[in-house]
Formats: sequence, structure tokens, C-alpha cells
Amino acid sequence: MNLSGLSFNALPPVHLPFRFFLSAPIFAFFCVTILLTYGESLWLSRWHPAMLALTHGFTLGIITMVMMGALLQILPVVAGISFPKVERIATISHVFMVIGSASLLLSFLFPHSLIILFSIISLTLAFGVFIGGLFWALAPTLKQTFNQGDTLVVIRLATIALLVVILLGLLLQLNRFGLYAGFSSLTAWLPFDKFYTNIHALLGGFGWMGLLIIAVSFQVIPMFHVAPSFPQPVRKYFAKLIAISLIALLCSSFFEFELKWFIAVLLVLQSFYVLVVINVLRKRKRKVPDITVRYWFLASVSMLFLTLLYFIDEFFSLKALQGKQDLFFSGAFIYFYLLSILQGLLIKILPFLSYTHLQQRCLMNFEAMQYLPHMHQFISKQQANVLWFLHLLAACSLLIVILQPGLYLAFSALLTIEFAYLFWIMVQTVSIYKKTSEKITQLDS
Amino acid sequence: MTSIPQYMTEKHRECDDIFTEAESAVAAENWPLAQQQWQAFANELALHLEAEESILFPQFEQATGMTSGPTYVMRSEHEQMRALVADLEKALAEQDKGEFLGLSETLMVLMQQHNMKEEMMLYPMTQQNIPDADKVAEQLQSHCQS
Ligand SMILES: [Fe+2]
Ligand SMILES: [Fe+2]
Repeated sequence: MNLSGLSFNALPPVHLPFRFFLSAPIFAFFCVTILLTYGESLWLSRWHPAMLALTHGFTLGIITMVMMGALLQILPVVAGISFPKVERIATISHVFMVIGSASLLLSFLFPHSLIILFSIISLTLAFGVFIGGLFWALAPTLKQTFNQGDTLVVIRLATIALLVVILLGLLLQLNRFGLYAGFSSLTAWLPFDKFYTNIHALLGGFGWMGLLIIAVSFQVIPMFHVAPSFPQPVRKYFAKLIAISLIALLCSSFFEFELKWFIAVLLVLQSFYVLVVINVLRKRKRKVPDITVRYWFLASVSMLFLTLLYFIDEFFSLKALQGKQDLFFSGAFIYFYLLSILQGLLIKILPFLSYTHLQQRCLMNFEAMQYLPHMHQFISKQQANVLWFLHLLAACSLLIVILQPGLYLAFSALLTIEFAYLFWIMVQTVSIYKKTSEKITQLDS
Repeated sequence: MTSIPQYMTEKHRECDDIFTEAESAVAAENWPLAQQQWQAFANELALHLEAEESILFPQFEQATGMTSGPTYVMRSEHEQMRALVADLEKALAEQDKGEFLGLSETLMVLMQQHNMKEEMMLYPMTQQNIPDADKVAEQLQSHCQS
């Protein structure tokens, strides 16, 4: 009989995901520094080096950072599998992720070949170790047919997308390093221009981050909110549709097909997904006020608006958006969709992880149960409400500053406040965790 | 004839449903309704846990030879759930809404993770590895309906 699936206590030590989570706000503050240094000029074009730095601050330093930490914990909970040698893999990938992301941002601002090389090496190490560990963890599941299968398939697709995104990013970065200078035949084959940057960005947004959210939602929405499961066809085929569109996008250099059609298809698919999310959430049985639900609704409704606006702009070319489409739509996608969901999940995951780890320790010592805080003692309802409000303000101010760059101070201030508050909530959770853990240790001895 | 995983999973959903009704009633400060729904939930849960401890787990242990692994964890988590239920009852008696909702969120988390482990591994493995799964499923049913 196969007992390998029975990893009942496969949770990695709680400090590992927390390290990733706590690093995210630091990159938000890095972004604020960039905003203040470059001021209005930053918003002239998405190709402005400081804008590239800012974008990567959000997508790599904040979003991917949090997702990596979350994956360490989510795999055991939703799929009963865990990373091999988790302590080592998490430590190495975290350290190089922080160094690599920071040096990548710096390499956009100060394109010195040493900084570029440094970012290439550290990010290769960070993702090499992380993606390697992820594939290693996922490999045995190829044979299993437990009912968590749909989530796992989508996590696999997201991991492959991440791999391609990172490879493309590294190729682009190697190009900046000057590796291909003198190899005209190579550069003719791989045009390292805006075209590949666009593919890199779309694969990152819809592939890696978008698919991972979809995978996680299949499990956590029914679980946290006592909602019905996502419809079977959606669970089975939907992520594959996105994957096929992304593969077609990757191959689009070989046939003449405009990028905007791919974006349109991806947005329609993504909108269809959020409609399903809204529908599932509306059927949830658990109706107690829950900030995570509000984050899901915010993200979903924003996604629908974004798509609608995209098509309106395609047909009627809105004056206000002229020349700013790329910034506006990617900004909305990142802040209103990705970050909203991420923050909504963090608000749930932080107490959830802390509690589960402490609860597992009480399995051996029932008496210690008396010290266990309940979920709202880690993060109060009120704090979660404040964070939601701060997030909404910062998100709106981002869209405003894209249209009116002169108002960049407002966005800088709101971004600082939002992430300072998030940071404070995280520190508070960790400290409650630590205090309780010490009490349990004392009782044990 | 329903299988063990089918029947027990259904029971988990039923428990969830009554639980959310009790929770909603507390959120709305409808204390009489909350009291009534909570009683229904607590009874349903108690029967379910008992059925597992006295019928299902021993079968699993016998079939797999694992007496101190998964079932030990499951039994301990049952104890933790019972402790939380007691705390919740106290909060309910005191009509302390904030405390109740914090505790109910906690029980929810514990229960969902616990159920997931049972549904993904323990139930299917028991179904596959015991000789007379149908009979055990019947026993579970009659216990839970008592
Ligand atoms: Fe159980
Ligand atoms: Fe159960």
C-alpha cells in the first residue's frame, strides 16, 4: 500500500514562509524610494528604466516573493505534499531572491555590467533552487489521483509558466549585459526587443501569477467560505485554455498576429474566471462578514471593469488613456487584481499558519491548548478593515497618478502607509506566535 | 449503497452547513436561533467524531497496522475540536459575539484541515483496505442517525 501520501505533519517551520512575507513590504519601500527619486518623469513611458524597476519591485519583490512563501505552506495543506529539504531550499531561495530582486531593480537604475551580472547570478540561483524543489515535490503527484488533482495540475502549469518567464527574463538581462554583442546570427534569431519583453510580462501576469491564483482559489474558496466547489469543467479545462493561449503567444513570433488579440483573449478568459468566482462566492454558505471575501469581490469586479475598458478603448480610443494604455491596464491588473487577492489571502493565511503550527504542537500536550489564541487575536477584524481601506486608496491613487503624473506624491504616501500597516500587522502576528510558542515550550519542560 | 468516503464526506458538509447557520445567527445577534442551531451542530459533530473513533479508526488501524500514526493525530484533533466547542459554548452563553466569531473562525480552520486530511487520505484508504467496507459504512450510518 502506498503510504507516501500520508504526510500528515508535513508543515514546514513557520519562520520560512514568514521570511518571504516580511520581505515584501521592504520592496514596497524600495518602490517608494524610486517614486520619490524620479518624480513626474517616471510616468512618461513604461520603457523608462525606473518604471521597469518599479514594475519589478511589485511583481518580483512583492507578489512573487509572497507567492513563493505561500507555496511552501499551501502545498502541504491543499495537496498533502511538501518540499524536500524545505529548510535549505527556502533559505537559499529566499536569500538570493532578496539579493537578486534588489540588484535587478538597481541594474535598471544603474546599468553597470557588474550589477547586471550580479542580478543574473543571484536570480538564477534563487529560481533554480526554488523551481527545482517545486518540480521535485510535484513529481510523485503525477501518479496520484486524489481529489486535489485539479489544483495540482494548475500549480504545475503555473510553475512551468514561471520557468519560462524567468528564462525569458534572464535572456533579456543577458542581452543587456552584452553577451550577444558580436553574435549577429543569434540576435537575428532572437530579437531581444520589446516583443519579448511583452511576452515576458504577459506570461508573468496571466501565466505564473494568474494561474497560481486560480489554482489556490479552487481549494481555499470552498474551504474558507463554505462555498460550493468550482464547476467541474472550469476546474478541469479552464487553466488549460489559458495555458494554450500563452503557448500560442509564445509562438506568435513565427506568424503575423498582433499582440493585442492575445491580450483580448486572455482578458476575456480572465473575466470569465472572475465571473465564476463571483458566482461561487455568492453561493457561499458562510455569510459572516469576512474581509477576504471583500478582497475577492474587489479583484473580480476590477477585472471585469478592466476588460470592459480595454475593449471600449480598442474601439473608441479614449482620449484620457492616449499613450498610457500599457501603464494603465497593467497597473490596474497588478494593483486591483493581483495585489487585492494576495492581500486578502495574506490576511487569512497569517493567522491560519500561526494557529495551525501552534495547534500541531498542542497535539502532544493537550494542556497547552489553553494558551492558543483564536484567529481574530492574531489580526483583529478592525485591523483587516483598515488595511482593506488603505489598499483601495493606494490602488485608486495609482490609476490617478498614471493619468496625472504630477500627483505622484499622493501615491507615494498612500503606498508607504499601506505597506507600513501591512508590515506592522505581520510583525504583530509573528510576535503573538512567538510569545505563545514560548509559553508552550515552558509547559513542555 | 454509499461508500465510506461518500457518506462521511456528506456528513462533513452537513456539519459545515449547520455550523454556518449558527455562526450567521450569532453575527446577526439572534441569540435564540443561534442557541438552537448551535445545539444541532454540536450534536451532529459529537456523533460524527464518536463514529470515527469507535468504528472507523479501529478498522483503519487493523487494516493498515498503523496504530500510532494518522489515527493518533486525528484523535488528538478531535480532542482539540471538543475543547474549542466548549469554549464556544461559553461565549454563546455569555452572548459574547466578538469572542464567539474569533473562536468559530478558529474551529472552522481546524475542522476544514482535519476534514481535508480525512477525505483525501484516511477515508479512501479505509475503503480500499478493509474487507467489508459496505458493512462498516452501514454501521457508521446507523451510529450517526441515532
Ligand atoms: Fe475526524
Ligand atoms: Fe470526519
